[in-house]
Amino acid sequence: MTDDGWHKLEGISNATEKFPARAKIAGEGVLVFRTKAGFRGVERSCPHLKASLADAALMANDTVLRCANHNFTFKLSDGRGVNSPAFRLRVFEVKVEDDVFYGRWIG
Amino acid sequence: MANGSTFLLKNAHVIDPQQNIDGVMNVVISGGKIEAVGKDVSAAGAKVLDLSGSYLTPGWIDIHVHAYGALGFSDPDSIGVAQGVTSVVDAGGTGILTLDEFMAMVRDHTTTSVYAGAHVHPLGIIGFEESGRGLNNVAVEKWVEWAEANPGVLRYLKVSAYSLPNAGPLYVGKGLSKILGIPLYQHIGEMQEPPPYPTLVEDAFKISDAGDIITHVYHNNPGKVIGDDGKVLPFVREAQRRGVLFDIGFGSMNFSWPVAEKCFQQDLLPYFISSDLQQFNIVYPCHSLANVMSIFLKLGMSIQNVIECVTSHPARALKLMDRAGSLAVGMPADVTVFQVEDGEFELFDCYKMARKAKQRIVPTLAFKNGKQIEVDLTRGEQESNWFMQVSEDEIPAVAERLSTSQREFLKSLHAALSSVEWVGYNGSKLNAKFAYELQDIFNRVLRAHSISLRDGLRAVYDCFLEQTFTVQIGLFLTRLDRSFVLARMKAVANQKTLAMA
Repeated sequence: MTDDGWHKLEGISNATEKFPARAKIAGEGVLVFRTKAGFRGVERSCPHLKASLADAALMANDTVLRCANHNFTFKLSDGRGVNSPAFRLRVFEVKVEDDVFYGRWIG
Repeated sequence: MANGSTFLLKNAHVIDPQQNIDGVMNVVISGGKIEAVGKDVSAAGAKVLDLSGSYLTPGWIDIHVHAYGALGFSDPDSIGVAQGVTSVVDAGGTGILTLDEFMAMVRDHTTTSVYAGAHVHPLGIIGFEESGRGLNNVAVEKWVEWAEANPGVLRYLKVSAYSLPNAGPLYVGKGLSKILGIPLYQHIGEMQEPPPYPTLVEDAFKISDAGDIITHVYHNNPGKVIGDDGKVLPFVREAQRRGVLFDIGFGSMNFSWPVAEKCFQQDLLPYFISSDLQQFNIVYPCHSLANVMSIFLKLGMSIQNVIECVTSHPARALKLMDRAGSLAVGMPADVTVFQVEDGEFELFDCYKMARKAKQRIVPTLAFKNGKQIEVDLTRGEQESNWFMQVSEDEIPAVAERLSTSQREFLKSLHAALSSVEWVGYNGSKLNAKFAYELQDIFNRVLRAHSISLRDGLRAVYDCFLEQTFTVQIGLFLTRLDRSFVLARMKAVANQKTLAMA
């Protein structure tokens, strides 16, 4: 990890075609989504009942993620639950430098 | 005007369990009422619809939906008449502090008849912020006064038999339901809160009398109705013998194929079929009451039994027989027309388990008080109906409809809220007492402004929502950030009112 919180993301590169892509950040399995505003990363399971978010859908102009299991929705900006404020998804920002992906947790 | 048309509905297979009708015949609707049912009945000058190949039944009744409150929809008719369901009971969205808001926003503002199955919690269900499902302010006198002032609205009293430290609240709910003279309606099984909470399912069954209702009876979470050996538990059987009624409440996590199949093998059958439709399950896995009814066809129920569970049974148990649940001459003309389609279908439970079915029930047409309604099963699944998105960047366009007096009200509310210390969330837990406080302030300002509750609620919702979701007002404000609330209210209060067309 760098001083400013960025971690190298393992398992994802510019050759990655399928999104959301499974990757690892500091050893933890995560998912990277490709949105209209660029890449965005989230933890792998929904904070509600731990369902996989691999088949979660982007909505609201790609600013919100919807778990396919029970329709819980989370803002990709900060992970806060939209229809379920008691739940928060862990999200991280993503940057790409020289074909290397980096992630930094929000909050 | 709307109820004046006369219809001759010809050649449908009519099923009306209440009247022991089961065969191909005609139905005449006139002046909003059932005028005649029989093989040779006719009506001169009527609009004739040939329904050969379709079934026709009393309008369906779904005793467990979320039409109001934290789990409700922006378009409650989307899960009612638009799905062939002419009457629904909101299952716990209201409590004693929010029943008036329900009346102002939902009760007489839908085509579907919406009744309240109020929750013992004063605010009603507050979504997935569970800290508030406990008990406080059980204002018995207020409940009694409210029920007397609003006859016919309350149909049962709901209690959630989980996420509680002990069974005390169930007994309180039981006592209150007796005082109010309505059935106790208990929710069993769910897994929102982890241990150390005990399973209260046994208490829930044991305190239920004949006519009381247990919902989510085929869930597969902690506190099932069957033991590890798959056998129906003795206290469940005893409740069945006493005349306790079992409801489905399909929901998001409350129906399991294996549990239902084991219960069917042992003759533990439902008295009602209900959906528990809410924001969190309409897209998947619940979809519609018809989908849940199809599941019970697959389990081996006859179409006649399935129809009983959504017509005569709910009408009888919830004392709706004077207004719903049968096609008796003179009854309000609530009618559902549907087909039983043949094909290859996959029907899902709430645990991603599917069963292949060769038939499914598809509503095609409905009548509510004699008014013809087109069925549209996709309407409920539209994002704007279930996704309550606060308009953060811009003032919603709907705010333009607010009147000068509503904006004056917002100005005063803004001033009153400005001095409040905002304690909406402590970590991720809702502070229910703060929701009461905000509701109190709202009501106090409202009284000083002599505008209706509906206009006051609309003024606040329109500040933040493009589609109106009727969330309990204190809870709604609690969920928002203080600075955002104040800035937005001020901006809307100062908007110019459009000249009325």
